[in-house]
Amino acid sequence: MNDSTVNLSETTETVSSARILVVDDDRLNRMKMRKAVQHLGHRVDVAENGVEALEALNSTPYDVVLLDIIMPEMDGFDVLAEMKKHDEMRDVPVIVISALDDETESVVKAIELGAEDFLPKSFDPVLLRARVGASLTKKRFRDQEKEYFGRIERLTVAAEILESGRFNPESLDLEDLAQKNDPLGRLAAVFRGMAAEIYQRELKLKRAIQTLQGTFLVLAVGLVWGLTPALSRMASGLGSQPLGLAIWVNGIAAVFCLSIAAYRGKIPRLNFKEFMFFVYWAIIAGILQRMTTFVATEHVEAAMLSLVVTLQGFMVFAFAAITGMERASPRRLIGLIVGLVGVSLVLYTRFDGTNGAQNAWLLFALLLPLLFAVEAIVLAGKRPENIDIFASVGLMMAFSAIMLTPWAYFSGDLLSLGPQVGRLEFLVVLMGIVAASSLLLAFHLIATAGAVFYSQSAYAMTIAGVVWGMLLLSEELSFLAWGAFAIIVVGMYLVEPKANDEELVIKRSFNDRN
Amino acid sequence: MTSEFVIDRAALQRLLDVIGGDPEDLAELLEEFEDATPKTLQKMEAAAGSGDLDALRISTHSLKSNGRDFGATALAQLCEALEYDCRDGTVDDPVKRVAAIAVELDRARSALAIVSKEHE
Repeated sequence: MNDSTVNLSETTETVSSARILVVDDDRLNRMKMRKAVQHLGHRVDVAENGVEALEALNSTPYDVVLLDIIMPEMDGFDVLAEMKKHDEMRDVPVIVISALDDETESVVKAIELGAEDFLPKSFDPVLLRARVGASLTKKRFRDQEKEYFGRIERLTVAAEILESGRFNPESLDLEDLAQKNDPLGRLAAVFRGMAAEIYQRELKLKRAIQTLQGTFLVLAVGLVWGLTPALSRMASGLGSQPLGLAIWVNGIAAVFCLSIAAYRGKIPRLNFKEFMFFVYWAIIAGILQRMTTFVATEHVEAAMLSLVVTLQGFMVFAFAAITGMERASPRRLIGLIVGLVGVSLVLYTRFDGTNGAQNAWLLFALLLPLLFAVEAIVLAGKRPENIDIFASVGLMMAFSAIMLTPWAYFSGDLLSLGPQVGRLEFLVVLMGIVAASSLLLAFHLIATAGAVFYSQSAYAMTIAGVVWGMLLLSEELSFLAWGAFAIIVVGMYLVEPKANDEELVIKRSFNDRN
Repeated sequence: MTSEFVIDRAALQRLLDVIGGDPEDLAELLEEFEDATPKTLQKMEAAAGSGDLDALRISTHSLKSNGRDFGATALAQLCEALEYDCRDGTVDDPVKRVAAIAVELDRARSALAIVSKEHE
């Protein structure tokens, strides 16, 4: 009970308690002033001369200075004049201590130099209390005013930031201002709240557009990529070996992409690290994926293989969840599952249940989505961003064509084409352009929407493969394919492209002031 | 002459009020007066001897305000007169003037010593 009373009185004292500097060259006077000011409940520091006073003022924010005029060397006038030169001292009120009798002149001079008030040397305690109190009140009012103006300035800065189109509440930096419960604080809160609302709305719109763009890109990748199996089947019908064909296709794609890069003047000079990136990429995409595909297609039914390949989405998602590379939310996972349901639906009708021996090969086939997932993750996280997209794809294609050549040579699978342009030659060029286009789209999609969203292109690819098969090879198309297609799009809506880190800048009509 | 005539009791009471009314604080200040004023006087004597009127003015000013605070009215008046003469440059014999102040200071110190004892 007693303790709390003591604490209460201490708090009230600190609220009104000020920090006061007494400047006097006479020790006895300093003692007197210290006791007098302490008695008023303030904290006191003393300085013996002008230089000491300025040093103290420089290092401590005082509320009032009690300044003796007559001092040796640097007198009170000098201290006043010096204080006015420094921003941090200018506003500290000074009460000049002066023997009043014959010194009206010096009091006038002191006040002209900026002193707030004066006190006769032999003052009354009531007078001291009144003068110090008045100065403190003025000082506190001034401080409040300064703080208020500071806040208005910050609001103005925030308004300018808004005007430049940056509505993100964080960049407005009004958090602490909006907490204050006074008119200006409420204004800041309203300001901030409205900006946040607009920002959220624009952010939603931007996400919707991104999702739409991403979805179209995924469908495009799928459609273009889905052409490959149909074209391959046509090519093998014309008597070509897959390996020899791959070298030509990759080579043509490389020439196609590198020509465009050269035309754009963007052929890069690779450093060792970048060179190795393209080598690894070519090993993953050009050799390992191709070898696995060859082996798997021989032992696993095509529809089942397509289904297995779509698992890459879940693999990328798991990797993103573990490493934090991308947001891994339940919503995105559900989106991937919805897509898988769609694909399973269309493949369901094509399963050939008689082949029981393929179970062991199914495990092997899992390598394929894993390789695709690794490729997507490596492209998302490690691609050299300074290198042009056409040059990147072209280099990878060129490297993989070079790596495949010795293998084809030793297995006798080298395919000779030309010089006359027949059906096969035409088909190979078309396949090269298709391969280049699908990789370019994929590369762009990974860069803008992220690896998880991109991995859904496996779904689109499967569906598209079915569609192209029908169009080019007159294969039978189940109406289920169309339903599956719709389900996959729903899945894409749920997965959403990865969120962009950069701040959204909103273009507004009032931005242009000229 | 008794302390009653040398020391203005009202001034001393005002000093006590200013520092918060604690007699112990006043005793402390009286002790400091005992200790400090002879030093100030020495400075005055030195300045008077060398004819440094500015230094004389400043130390006389200090003694004047000390005298006023402690109710040594006569001392304060002598100091004030000398301070103004220093400022105006109209001091004929500074050494003699300081000597007169020394006598008055002595008187004030003795009177204050008695007051001091009263307070104990």
